[in-house]
Amino acid sequence: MTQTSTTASETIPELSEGPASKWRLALNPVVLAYGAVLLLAAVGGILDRNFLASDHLFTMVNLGAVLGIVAAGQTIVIVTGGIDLSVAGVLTFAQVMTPFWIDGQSGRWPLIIVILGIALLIGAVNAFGVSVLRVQPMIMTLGVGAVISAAVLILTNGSSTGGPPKFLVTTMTRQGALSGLLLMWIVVSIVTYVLLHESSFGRKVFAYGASARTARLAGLRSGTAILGTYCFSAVTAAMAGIALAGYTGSGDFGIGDTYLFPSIGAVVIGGTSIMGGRGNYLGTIAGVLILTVLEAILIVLNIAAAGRQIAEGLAILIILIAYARERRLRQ
Amino acid sequence: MTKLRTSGGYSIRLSDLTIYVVLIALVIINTVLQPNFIEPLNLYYVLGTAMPLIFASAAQGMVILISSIDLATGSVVSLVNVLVVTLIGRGSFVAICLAILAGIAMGLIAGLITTLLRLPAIIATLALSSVWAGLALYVLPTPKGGLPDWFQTVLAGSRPLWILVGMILLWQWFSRTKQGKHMYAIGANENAAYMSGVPILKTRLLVFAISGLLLALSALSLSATTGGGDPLSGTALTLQSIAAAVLGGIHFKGGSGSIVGAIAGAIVLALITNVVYYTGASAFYQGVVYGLLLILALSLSRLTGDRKATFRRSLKPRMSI
Amino acid sequence: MTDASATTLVLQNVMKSYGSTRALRDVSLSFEAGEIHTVLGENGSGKSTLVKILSGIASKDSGELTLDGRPITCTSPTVSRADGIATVFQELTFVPSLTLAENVFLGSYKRHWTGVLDSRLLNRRCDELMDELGFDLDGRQPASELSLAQLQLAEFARAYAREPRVLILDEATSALDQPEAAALIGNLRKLTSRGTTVIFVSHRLDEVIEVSDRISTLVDGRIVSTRQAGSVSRESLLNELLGNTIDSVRDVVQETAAILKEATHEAKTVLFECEIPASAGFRSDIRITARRGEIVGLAGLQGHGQKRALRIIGGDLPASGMRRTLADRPVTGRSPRDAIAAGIYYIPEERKIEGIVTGHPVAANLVLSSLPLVSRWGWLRRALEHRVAEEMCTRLGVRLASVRQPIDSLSGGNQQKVVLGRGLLCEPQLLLLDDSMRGIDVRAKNEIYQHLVDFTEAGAAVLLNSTEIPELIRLCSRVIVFHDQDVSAELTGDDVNEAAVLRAMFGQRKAPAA
Repeated sequence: MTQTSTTASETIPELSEGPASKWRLALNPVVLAYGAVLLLAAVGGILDRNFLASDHLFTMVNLGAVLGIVAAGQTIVIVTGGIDLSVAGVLTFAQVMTPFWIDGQSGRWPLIIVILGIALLIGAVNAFGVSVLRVQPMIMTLGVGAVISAAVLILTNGSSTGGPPKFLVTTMTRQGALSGLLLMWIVVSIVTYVLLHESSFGRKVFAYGASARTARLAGLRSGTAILGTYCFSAVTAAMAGIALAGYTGSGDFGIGDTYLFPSIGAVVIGGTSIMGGRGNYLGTIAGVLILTVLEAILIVLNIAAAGRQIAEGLAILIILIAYARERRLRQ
Repeated sequence: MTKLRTSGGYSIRLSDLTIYVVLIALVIINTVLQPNFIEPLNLYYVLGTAMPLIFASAAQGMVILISSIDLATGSVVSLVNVLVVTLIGRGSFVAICLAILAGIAMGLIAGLITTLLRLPAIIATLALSSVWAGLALYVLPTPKGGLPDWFQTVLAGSRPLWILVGMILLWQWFSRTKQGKHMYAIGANENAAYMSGVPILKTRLLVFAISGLLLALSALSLSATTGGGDPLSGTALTLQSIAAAVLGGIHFKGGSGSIVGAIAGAIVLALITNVVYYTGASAFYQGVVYGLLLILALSLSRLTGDRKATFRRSLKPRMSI
Repeated sequence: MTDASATTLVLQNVMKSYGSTRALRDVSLSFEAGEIHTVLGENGSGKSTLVKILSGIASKDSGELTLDGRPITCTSPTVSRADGIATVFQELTFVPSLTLAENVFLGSYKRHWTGVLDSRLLNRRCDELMDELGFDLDGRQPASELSLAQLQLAEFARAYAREPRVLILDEATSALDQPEAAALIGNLRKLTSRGTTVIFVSHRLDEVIEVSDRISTLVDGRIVSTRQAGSVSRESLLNELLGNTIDSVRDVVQETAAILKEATHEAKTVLFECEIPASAGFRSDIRITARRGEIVGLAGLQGHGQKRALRIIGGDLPASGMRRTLADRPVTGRSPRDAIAAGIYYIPEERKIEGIVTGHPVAANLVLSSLPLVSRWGWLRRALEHRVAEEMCTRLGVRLASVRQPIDSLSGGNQQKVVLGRGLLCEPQLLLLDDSMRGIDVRAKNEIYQHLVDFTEAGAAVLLNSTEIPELIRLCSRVIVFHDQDVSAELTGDDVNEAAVLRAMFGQRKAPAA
């Protein structure tokens, strides 16, 4: 594609010296995504007066928080041009094993750290497959996810018993402005934002996602960027699982799968390119809010689960058509 | 500066064969564990239960061959499955025809969205998956039986074998047709295919339509094996079909591999279930084996593929005139 | 040669813009039946755009196209082909999993009543075609097993087989040796004798003057002249291509370069030494040295080893047993990262996929190789980053509004300056440029030349691989020429001239100068 790429912009040296705002705001997916959040919230408010009441808002944010935490890790993975399908398995693992191992005894809290440690290891395995064995991220995480899901069943012998420690239940089920879930999402969000946009790690992630060749020739260690990325994703998924364990009180083998596809959807709705190299974590937050508010509206409208799924799928498609199209063959 | 993927030649042939070696090994293991495994009736039965996955893997394989992917596979199967069950009261023929048309239509929609609107397949089919799954849930909220008895005998006896033979022959024919060659061309390098005058839209739509047809057949065989409809019946097929296709040697970036390999991959996955069952181990081990096998197979073919690439690079570009 | 019998293809006021860049500004040209008509232009002059429009890959913004008096649309490759326009692209369009014959006839298959491709017929037609063209290629071979040169010949065969009215050759000889290129060009006359128009797009001057009937020069998206090939001299063509707007800049560089060349005749300390063993894919051990203050050129036809040698030095390709010494210290490690740490910086050719991080600000792109410099504990210090970036942009004369601007909004030349700046921030002692100035505008090119000269004057050195011989002659005091995976000549002093470089590129050996 040498010729294709070079002729386009070479003949005129000076270009685009317009005001800085021109390229930053115009049709920025992140701005669009937040616009959609406001629009949806307004629609909700019109449909139901209580929709925008603080209680309901907090309930919605609490519901969104778990998805938000999973989507944070997923964002970084997608920026590298990969995808993490093992978050479902890791989330289930953490959500089931926390009550199973701790069995309601708060004294066993260090097991939470053990669970996070195992997640870290799982991330490292994913990274090893992707960067050393060079397996496609989708296939690698699919395989690892299958192993983890099976491992959870084997470890628990197929029945989720036990209960989360008290402190976890009280923090996670606390209602109001500063619930445990919301607090956790905020902390994870700040860490994710800093990692992706304010650290040299983030620069490596973006460079690798845009072009592995560019990253290599610029002398960046891609391996460490990949390792950090998949470890972070696994740890956020495990955190979401632990939080959910406290929230729901008992393990559920199918819970991870319900978050897998929304986590990818939220990232893409937020304007991060599924092909890697472009994206913004702030967009992911908007993506999570869009999916959450949309779901809340559909509930308000008394639409059954089936209708909600259809509406969510269509919403993602429409948003994709708005700004996630690939380059055309014909120029 | 087009990158020519270094496929073909020694190592690819090797990794193409891998799946058949694994397949034979699994047959042997199964026979050792349970001597009457090898009896025809049992083999037919195993094949019959594997039919839904076999069709789904062939469908997935077609899509991956054109360098795309279908994450809606399972939902399409579920939707067709519940459609058959709800429509069967209006006559079996009508129900089956409508089911097949629905499958093809869903394939075409995926094809149009990824080709005309140029949405990335991975996320577009994910969204479609949500839509189809929702529709399935809407059509039939809870599992329900009620398929006539004859429906369940469709896959009885040696029929699965003949269906399989038919599929393989059809594939051998299709892969040699003009459209088949166009499909490979698009998968290997869509840009190049476009410049060579290959009709991109037509070919891609054809592939997606065939894939939809295969998914409808997958749903019909699923209905036959379960005898009823379930809005979640196909869910597991999405990831399993990808695994089967990739295990079967279809290159994840498209352009090389064969549907016969994907079918073999599907049978391998089914046999693994069998082995786990025969060893008396908990069924949970199935996932472990299948995940590890996937990673192992992929990294092995990568390693041999890489060696091949270095070998080619060291060849200097020379020729004689 | 031209029997101005009939006009075939006519372009009238064709224009095309990509965003704010005008690739073609009003091109009018007419081609005659049976002529070989060359469109000559530098990279970025718009010639590829012209080819793309005619072959239906890009759409024109305005203008008229007629073929044999009939208006044509060129709305897709299929339409263009049906109208009788066949193109041999520079980039290869082959499908590795199909056989050569299947590739050659891709898009125009004949088949049985069964729908299956008639491979016997296909192979027979392919054999006949190769016989007619005199190419030794077997249609049954999978395309994945063919060499670059074989594929390029097959590309030509494919276009030839379509019996086109107009055949376009877009740099179609770039991977070929001289005899191969000659065989290909010999076949062109067969086509023209049937009344086909051949449009030859190239920047290889000598080849062009030899084979063409008429030559048109394209500069900055405009046709500057169209003349009979017999009546033009190389110099006049060169002058036209380079334009005269940038004469002053060029003179400055030439002057500096001249001083530089003289200076290097004096004994200078060796900065860099490298030995690449033959096992890395060469015919014999390769030895490359660079003295302080020197710009050493690497030349050769595409695929003859010069690019590989450069990438090996930059750590991008492995070569066991290689020895590199920079400023008397051995360079160890096998990655570009290790090379950078040792003071060697490689700047690649493909800016878009190897150079820049698209969508990211200029500043982020500039500091990519020196992140520790602008971060503390992994936390980026934005103010420092912007200051560093602004300083570098000022130093290199990058034309931009702000370093926060996305790099994609800069012109190609300015993007390349940013990549150069990224390298300079690492304070290397040896810069490796791998045809990095391809396709950027002349002004930016000249400015980069100036920076390279400045860079070497400070005691560093540059290894410059270039496909543009004038560039090498202007800048380099020494040129190492590759032919067939080996060094065929090492030219110094007055020997650095176009004729000598070309001779060596085509394999004429000369005792290497010490």
